[in-house]
Amino acid sequence: MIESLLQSIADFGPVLLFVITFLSCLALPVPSSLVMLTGGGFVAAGDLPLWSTFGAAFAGAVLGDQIGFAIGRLGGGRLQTWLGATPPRARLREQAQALILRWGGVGVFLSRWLFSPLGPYLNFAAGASVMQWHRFTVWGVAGEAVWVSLYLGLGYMFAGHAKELADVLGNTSGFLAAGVVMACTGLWLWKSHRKAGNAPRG
Amino acid sequence: MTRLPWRRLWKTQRTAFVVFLAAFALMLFFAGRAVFFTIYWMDPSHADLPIEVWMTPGYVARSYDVPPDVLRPVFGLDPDSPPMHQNLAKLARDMDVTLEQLQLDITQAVQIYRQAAPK
Repeated sequence: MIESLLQSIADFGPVLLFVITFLSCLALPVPSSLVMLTGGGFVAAGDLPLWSTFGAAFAGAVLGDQIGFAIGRLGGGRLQTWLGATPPRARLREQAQALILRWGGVGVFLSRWLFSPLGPYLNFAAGASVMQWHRFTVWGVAGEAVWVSLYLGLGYMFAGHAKELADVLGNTSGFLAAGVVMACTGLWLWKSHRKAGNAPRG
Repeated sequence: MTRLPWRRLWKTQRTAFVVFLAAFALMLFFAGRAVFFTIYWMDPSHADLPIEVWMTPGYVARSYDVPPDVLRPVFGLDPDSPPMHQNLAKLARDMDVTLEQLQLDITQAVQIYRQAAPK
């Protein structure tokens, strides 16, 4: 499967990168990092043109983000209703919305390239939440520009070693993404613990 | 001494607690793998990777750190002809040779170059 996908890079070039980055923004399990790093290697070897490869990967990623956001917005109404149904859920919704208003932009930016495994889910979440479309788009486009430059650039620099690089980078970004989730839930638990500690013991 | 909060968190914040533990486990898992692959690929004996069907001649040359011209004779090309952008699968088909034969020829060309080239 991966072999034939990599084989298609030389056959289809930028078009394949467009499709792969597009699908990866919708949480579909495609090896986008490996394809991008290999694409960068092919650019270095002179087998793919630089700008159309960059442009196609970038366009696919930005379009994928927009579709993810739109899916979140379409399904978001039902989620908002569900969250508003009981007081504890409504409190959770308020907290989540405050968090998104404060950190949403930076979160979208960093989840494009640094905590990339979280990216697609943030697209859905941003769409379902109160985040404004233009804010999502500005931070998202900036983040995708970093992601595409970074992965094509590393693929270019370490041309001929895309698979090894994908092994290291994939696990590093997995580590970082898990770390962010752990830090956020840890903070949440710590706050809840402190609040409970201040309350009279029953 | 304050009691550890685990019990209470398990009771009152079960979802967040489970997510926290799962994220922690995943973090360790990915950290281990990232370190393993970094050490594995830094080992010089793993520097030469197998030549695969999806690679182009230019990519193979980069991978083996040899000038692209070194591989031209394998494909029956002289130095003036334009570069080949197809992958090895297609080139092998066009040349009507097996992939194994092509891989062998490339490896030999690389070896000959390395023996002749000054370190």
